[in-house]
Amino acid sequence: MLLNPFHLHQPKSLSEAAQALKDHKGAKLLAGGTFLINQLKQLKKKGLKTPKEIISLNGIKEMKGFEQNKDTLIIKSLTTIAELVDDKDLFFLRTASQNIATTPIRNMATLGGNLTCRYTWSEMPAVMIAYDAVLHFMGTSGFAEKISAEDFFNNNARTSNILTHISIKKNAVHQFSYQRVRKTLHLDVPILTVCIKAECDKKIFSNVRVVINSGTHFAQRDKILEEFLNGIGVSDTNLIKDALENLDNNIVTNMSNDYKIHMQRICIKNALIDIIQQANS
Amino acid sequence: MDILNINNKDYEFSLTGYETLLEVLRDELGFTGTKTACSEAECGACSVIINGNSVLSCITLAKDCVGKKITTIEGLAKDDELHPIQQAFLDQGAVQCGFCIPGMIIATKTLLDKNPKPTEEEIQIGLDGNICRCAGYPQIMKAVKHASKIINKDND
Repeated sequence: MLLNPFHLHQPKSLSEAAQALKDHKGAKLLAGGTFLINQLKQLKKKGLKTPKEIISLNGIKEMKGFEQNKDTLIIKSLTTIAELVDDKDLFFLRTASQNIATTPIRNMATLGGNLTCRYTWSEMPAVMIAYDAVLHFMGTSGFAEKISAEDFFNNNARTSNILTHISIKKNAVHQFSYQRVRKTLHLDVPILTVCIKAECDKKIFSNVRVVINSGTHFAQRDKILEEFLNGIGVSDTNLIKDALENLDNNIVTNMSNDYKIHMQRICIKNALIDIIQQANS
Repeated sequence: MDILNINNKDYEFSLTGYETLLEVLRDELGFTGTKTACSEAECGACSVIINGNSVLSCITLAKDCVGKKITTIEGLAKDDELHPIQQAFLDQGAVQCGFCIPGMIIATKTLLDKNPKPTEEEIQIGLDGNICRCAGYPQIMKAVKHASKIINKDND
């Protein structure tokens, strides 16, 4: 067998899942399986202890799909990455998610898994922080809880609850750029991602979000660059040069080699060129 | 009992919950066209179609597939007649050692079902989860394009 024995729970509703999680402390939640099943195999190969209880969320229909009203977009956590790529209305999610892994992985992996797997290099946290997304959880007590994506990842993405959905306030017309550096080893893992979102009214940037994922730490906002860009004119001839003088270098410097600092500057430059072009078009 | 629908036929099992779909297909049913290779979701040799999408059977729990429609490479040919994609791979000499080919054909099937006339870039993306260690990619690309032509001609 590829996996050590475990008891598989297959709840059909969120409340059943919460009850199963309450009844079995230490149980692992299974969604797409692209992280967990591989992790179980690795633990078995190394002769390490594997979980005895697995709760598969795949039979819970209320955790799948999109909903939107006038102000808010809701993405259920079992929505697959491929479904995000296919949705032409969600261009900001499409831009980031189309780079994730490979076609079969995108068909299986879920947004919820990408956000809660606690791998620091996963793609969607930076996008969620840039869009001020709110993560909604159901606790084992059955009560709903919510936390901003930024606070969740600042707290090292720790949770013992079930991520049910993500809500994002619909934004005014805005520009978005997603830049990614990858290093192909045996897996296509991004080593640096830069995400910039900005609104542009009368050729002036506002509500700017700059999020950096260094790959070795959860995504963080570059608030120094955000402060610099807010209020800057799109056609300011020194915009990019001055922006590169106003980076929070600590986000990458503390964790990485020199080449990554260089790549961070290139990614930010490319992202700024991208959003300036969008603002001018 | 758990019922898995594989290639339009129902099979009854008593699943423990921790069998992968790959193990059930190969060890319980003898569908050995679905290959065991990396077993770590990297190579695509174990690809099958579930509800119209190519997925990796090495990281899919069989018990989570109850109620879904599973298609393996054995489910493509009709009696003695190969599926046009299989025929295209033969006609274009796309098979070297052949180990990756079932996965490649499964990926091609889901790609062409969704997008019957893919561009070169769309083919590359559609097959990006399948690795050929013989590096026979040029012929595989030709085979996919050839299959697309045959399928579209049949549909016109």
